[in-house]
Amino acid sequence: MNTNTNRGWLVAGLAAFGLVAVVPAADAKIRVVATTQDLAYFARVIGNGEADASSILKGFQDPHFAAAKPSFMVEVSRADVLLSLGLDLEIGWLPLIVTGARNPSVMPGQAGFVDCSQFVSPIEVPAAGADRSKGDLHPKGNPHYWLDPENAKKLARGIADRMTQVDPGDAAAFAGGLAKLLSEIDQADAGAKALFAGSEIPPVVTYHVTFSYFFERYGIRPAGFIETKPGIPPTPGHVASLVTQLKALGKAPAIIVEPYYDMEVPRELGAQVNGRVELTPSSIGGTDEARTYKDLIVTVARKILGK
Amino acid sequence: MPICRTGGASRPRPGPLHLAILCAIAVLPRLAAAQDAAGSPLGIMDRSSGLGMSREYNPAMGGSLIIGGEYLSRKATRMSLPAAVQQGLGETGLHFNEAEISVSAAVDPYFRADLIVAFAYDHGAFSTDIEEGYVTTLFIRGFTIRAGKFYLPFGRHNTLHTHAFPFIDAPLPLVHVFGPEGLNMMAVEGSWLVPLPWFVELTFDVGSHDNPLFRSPEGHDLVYGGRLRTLADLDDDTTLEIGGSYFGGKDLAGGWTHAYGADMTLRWRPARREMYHQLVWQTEYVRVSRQNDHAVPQPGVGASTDEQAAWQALQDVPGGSAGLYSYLAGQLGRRWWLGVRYDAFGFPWGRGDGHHRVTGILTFLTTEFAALRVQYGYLFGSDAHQVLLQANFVIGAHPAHAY
Ligand SMILES: [Zn+2]
Repeated sequence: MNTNTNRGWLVAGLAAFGLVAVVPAADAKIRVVATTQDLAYFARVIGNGEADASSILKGFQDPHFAAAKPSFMVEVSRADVLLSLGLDLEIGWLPLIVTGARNPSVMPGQAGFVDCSQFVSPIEVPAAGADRSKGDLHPKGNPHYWLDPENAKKLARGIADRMTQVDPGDAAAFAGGLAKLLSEIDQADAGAKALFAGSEIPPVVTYHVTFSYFFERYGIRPAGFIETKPGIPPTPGHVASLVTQLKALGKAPAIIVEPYYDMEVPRELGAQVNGRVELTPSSIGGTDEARTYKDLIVTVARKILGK
Repeated sequence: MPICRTGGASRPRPGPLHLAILCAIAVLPRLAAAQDAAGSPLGIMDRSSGLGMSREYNPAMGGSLIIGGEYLSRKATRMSLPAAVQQGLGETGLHFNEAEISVSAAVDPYFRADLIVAFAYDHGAFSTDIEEGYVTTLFIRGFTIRAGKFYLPFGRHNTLHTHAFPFIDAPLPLVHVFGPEGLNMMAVEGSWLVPLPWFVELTFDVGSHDNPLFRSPEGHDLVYGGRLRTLADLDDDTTLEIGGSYFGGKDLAGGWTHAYGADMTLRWRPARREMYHQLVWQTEYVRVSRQNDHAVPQPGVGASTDEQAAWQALQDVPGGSAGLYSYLAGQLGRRWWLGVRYDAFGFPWGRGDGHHRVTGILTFLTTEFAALRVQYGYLFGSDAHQVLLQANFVIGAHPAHAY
């Protein structure tokens, strides 16, 4: 590269900046950027037409192993509100995006930065503190708390509060949106309860501890996990012991697999224990069936029951 | 003074790195002009350390440890290899390559500090070096200022720490031009996220003349330069990054030396399978040119290898030289990576002691914190075969994975 090329880039960049700068920000809608599609969905319903909500990750992507793509910095640099799940779920990538975005409005500590884990009480918090010999992924407790409708309601209220704080002018719209969302969450809960009522729940195996909150809400005790520890991939020995355990139960298990895990080991396991392997959304957008929160919760219940 | 919330009745305490970053950036925005002063949800510190020995403000700490082994074919003794290659290599045997301790914390609401100390072992001698130590501003919209000693943003590879190298050794052109320590010096830097619909970052640096390439005889001249980095999403799974870098300063002869770089990185990481597959193709071109060709005094016997390397690099081709590397690395499964690299220095061929090499590497990871790697390299010209083994461990604060 020579200096002329360097200068050419600079001139082009500055010219483009000039063009962007003279276009006034016409829309008064607040911009919400969320780390996951669930949080973005909540913000969109609450926004009631008065908020632009987008998510960094799609529902079928793995929130533990996302990349700090610089294009996300651009998105966050223009945000009025940044919603994150917290509990260190996004620690491998979100801090780089937040600092790279250089946007003081959504820096932690400001009203624009929302660590949504503050609205719920985490479970599976390591009693003696975190230690990577126990796996790396959940040092502060299980971060997959949005899959419990009760937590979802707390989340909805917390997010609505913050959006109102940042944009008080649209308080009425947000209150209306919140009411809609709360009623959808109630329907989701009622839908799952109706499915579970009167059905025999099979032993359930999941890949990762993604569904702990869902299980707790509906009284399901997981029969095992394909991972050996959160974030540590399965070994043949672990799978063999899982097979023994499941065979001892004497019932065909449901093997629930999140969209971002490899299906090979679950299929092998399924073949050995006569289990039903189900690709199951863990977030809105995780599969085509899960387009709303209600659909997500009902779909998870259906996958467990095989209905 | 506002304080970071470090404890609450129902919330678990944040981990060290998270805490550092959250604290670092928690309160700064109060300074920013555009900031709405209302509604900062800061908590009240409700615990105290009677003796002032609270752990709450301990910095986030991390460490890395690299141990390795090497086999060099008998035909090629270390001294028969080109100067720049020698510095990337050791000798047949087992090596304790490097240990690093990193410490990061918020200084106050406006600055963050990072310190990385490296302990290295080379031919019977241990050395300790402040690899990086700098403060970064956290309160300016769109802009960051950084001051201290750090790897200057010349291309992609120069800013990497040893444990994050895609191959066990550094590419030839970079070792040749900047020496084994890379372009690393005391500097002040401003970087701007250009407000465009896609990612464009402009960085400017003014540095001291600590690097052998820019060691001016005056002893007080500065080095100037910077980097333009752009990235575009080609689709949901693929990004293309293109960057250009320049650094210039006076050399040993008192004339200007210019270092130019151009880099391209194509990365494919399929959604739904981000944990299992990734493909990276990265190429960097580096060129050095000197304003004048008058003779540079050879460093004395007591001069450092850096200095000798810089002198050598300037001797190799009067007026300057160029080189490049290009590698393709693919993640085959959750725990396996395979990579192949070609690197060369001494363009145009036939003018100096140009040399080039092919390298292959296989990596096995237990988790993202531990890797075992084996690498084979063949150096054309010297007809040297080299096999490197490396075990690489990271502990402590969760590492940030720069894209
Ligand atoms: Zn998880």
